[in-house]
Amino acid sequence: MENSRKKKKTVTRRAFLQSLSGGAVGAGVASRVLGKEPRSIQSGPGEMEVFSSKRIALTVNGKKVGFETEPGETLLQVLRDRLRLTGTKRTCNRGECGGCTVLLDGKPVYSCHILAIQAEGKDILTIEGLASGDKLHPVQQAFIDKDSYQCGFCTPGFIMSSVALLDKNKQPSLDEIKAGLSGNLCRCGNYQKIHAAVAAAADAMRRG
Amino acid sequence: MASQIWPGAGVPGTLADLRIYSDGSVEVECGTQDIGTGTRTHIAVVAADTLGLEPQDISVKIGNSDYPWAPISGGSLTTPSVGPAVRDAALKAAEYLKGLASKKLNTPPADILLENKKLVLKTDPSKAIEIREVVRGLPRPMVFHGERSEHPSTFAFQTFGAHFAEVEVDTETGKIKVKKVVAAHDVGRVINRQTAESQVLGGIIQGLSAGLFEEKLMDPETGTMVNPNLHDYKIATALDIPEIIPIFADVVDDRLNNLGTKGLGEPPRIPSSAAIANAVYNAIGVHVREIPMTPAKVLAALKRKEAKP
Amino acid sequence: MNSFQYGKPTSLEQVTSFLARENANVFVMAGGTDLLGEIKEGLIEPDLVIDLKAVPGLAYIKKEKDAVAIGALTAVADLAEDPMIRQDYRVLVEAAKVIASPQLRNMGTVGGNLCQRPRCWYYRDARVVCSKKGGSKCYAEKGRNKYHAIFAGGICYAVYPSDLAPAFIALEAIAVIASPQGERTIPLAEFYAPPIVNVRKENVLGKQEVVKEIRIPLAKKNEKSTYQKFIERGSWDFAVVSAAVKAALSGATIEDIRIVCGGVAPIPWRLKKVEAALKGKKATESEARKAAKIALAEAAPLAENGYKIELLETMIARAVVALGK
Repeated sequence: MENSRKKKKTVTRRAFLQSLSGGAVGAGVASRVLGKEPRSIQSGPGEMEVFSSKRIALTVNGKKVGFETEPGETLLQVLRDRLRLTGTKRTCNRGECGGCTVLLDGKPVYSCHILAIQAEGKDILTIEGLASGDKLHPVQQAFIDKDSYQCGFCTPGFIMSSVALLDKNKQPSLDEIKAGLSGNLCRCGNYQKIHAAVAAAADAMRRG
Repeated sequence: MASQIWPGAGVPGTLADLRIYSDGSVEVECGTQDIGTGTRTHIAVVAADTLGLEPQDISVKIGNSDYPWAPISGGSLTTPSVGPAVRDAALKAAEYLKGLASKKLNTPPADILLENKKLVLKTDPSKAIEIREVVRGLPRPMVFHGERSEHPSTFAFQTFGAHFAEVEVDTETGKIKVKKVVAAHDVGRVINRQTAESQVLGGIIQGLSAGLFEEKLMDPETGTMVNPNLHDYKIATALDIPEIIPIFADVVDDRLNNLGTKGLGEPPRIPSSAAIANAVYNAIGVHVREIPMTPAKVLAALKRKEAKP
Repeated sequence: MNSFQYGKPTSLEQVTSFLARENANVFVMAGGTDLLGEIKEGLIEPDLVIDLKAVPGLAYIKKEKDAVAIGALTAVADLAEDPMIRQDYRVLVEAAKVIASPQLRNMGTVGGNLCQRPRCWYYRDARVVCSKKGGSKCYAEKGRNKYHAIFAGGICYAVYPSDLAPAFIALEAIAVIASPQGERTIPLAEFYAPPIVNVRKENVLGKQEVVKEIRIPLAKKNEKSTYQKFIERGSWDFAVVSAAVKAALSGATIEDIRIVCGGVAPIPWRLKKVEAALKGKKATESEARKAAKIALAEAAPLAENGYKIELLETMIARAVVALGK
């Protein structure tokens, strides 16, 4: 079935970018090239510990992961570039849009605006951790059923915020849904269907 | 209230290939792309509907310039370009399938219908043969080339639409709250209701956002935009969204193209800020002549009104 | 982001002694919602960032004998949802629940909200060396200034963006500040200093000092409080204008009142003349508007922010009316 023209070897954009940022060494080199070298500050005995890099462990989608991180690396960078969990989107990278929303110890946060080093020992849930096997989370299923996205870039963030909202409030009103999702922007303007999906997911989850 | 007209015509010469394999699978290739407007869905719907299949039976291959030529996504032209090309290919495939079936059913091709994944005799629905059966044993995949036709040359054509907005204006703060928008459009045949509604919702919310919030602020001294970020360049949030009711005339105009469909990307964006602005005028009795209609501008407009009784 | 070192303290003493030891480019971070933005925007280039969240025991809300004590690292979301705060300090809840977005309320802290830097777009643009960054002038004064100050501008017209600061000052809160020498307390009203004192910063916190706790007097029975915030869109915005009001009421009569406004001056702006004019008056819209006009006469708007005068009068009026509700 394969068209012969397509058999030529191709490199996808994502694979190319990943090849650049592969592993701690690559990321470290990149940050040093791009940024200035900080003054080295040493801490003495009994003083606060100071790190210019640190090996940390955390739980991501139920799995323990460990890696070496530099303080300037965000949780979002680690999720996407190290753990290859590219469902979490880097959109504004300034904590102003919600595309990078993940749950940290059950609460929605902007992963672009949290240092990876601060996530040490925390429990992170990303969009990739919602489905069990082939069965989608009810919120994911509702987003499909209600056609709740257009370009889809904001969708993982909206779904994570929706999951957090429904954890706290099993039967939210429309106003509560809007307030709960007020930290996520959708440029395509599909809010009404997003709100409908959350209401439908709430119904589905109550029915079990 | 405000209205729109817009071409939404599509691009003649758009190409699409439809393949039928000997295992009965159907594939459409088209060098278009889906930027979130539902192109993938529309292709599957058009091919499936023409061949008596379900949309999920169609394997849609897009997003590659190696595929048959299709235009950019822009100008409300994707569906009325790609849809007719796919329809053309699928109609040719349907004729071919009917030809194969006519031998097996021993009846002229014109007497055969494609429905429920079968080729059915019009006059006697009990006489039917599955599409899968008809193509079994084909020596190679059959390819059908589809092309989007020229525009009609003897008359003009447009999309038409009207939006109706209900707003609340806080006359002490100048803040506008849009409560409800009803939007009616004639874009010919609606290919898919869900994706069409999404285009309307998006056009209204982007128009609301531009009408009330979005402001590119340039600094005369530094020559730079002072608000180039999503904090200072404000776009609508979930808490700004009104109730929106999309309505489609859904009137097929067969003179336009073989689907009778027009584009819907821009049409709902066109009247949406204006409908809100006119509702604001209706509410406060004075026009705010510039968007975004910020609180500062609304308060200034109210002062103008007070000044000349 | 530029690279920097990361300090992981186990106590506030470790933090303040380290701050005393180091002479430059060391920043303390609470929720990081503002500080990381400043680093990304290139406004600061820290050598070391000290993570206050690593210090155990700084997030709490406790009712004590003479005050309610709120740890500086308490999340804004936890403040908004605390049952005791909800019962006694409506102004705090109304302020906290409209800060930024749900995600930022989970990340941001009370102390961080009170110590955040202004949002002025000239200040936030690393290429513009304005007075706040050691330059010779305020670019907003003759530039784009729809969100800038109508009071106490001059050297710098950036407004102080915090929602919690006006609310806490209305409640007569006290800041507990830790340093290597121990702790000191200062009324939060005196914690902020206008540009004329030091245009480079907005508060009187010393280099070796860290805000540890906010203390608010126990609520009295006849006291009411409220926060009225005006933003342009439905959510996720800093105040264009806000008014935090606490009043002691006897029936509908105002016995005592504190009015502190946000979004109008480089620091939270208390309106003492308006307070004086309202004492002994009924808590009605007309009395409030009459009194508010006293302050508004002193406003010095720029080319694009005159509308804030009307908004401020309305926010004060709505706050006074809301006291009775």
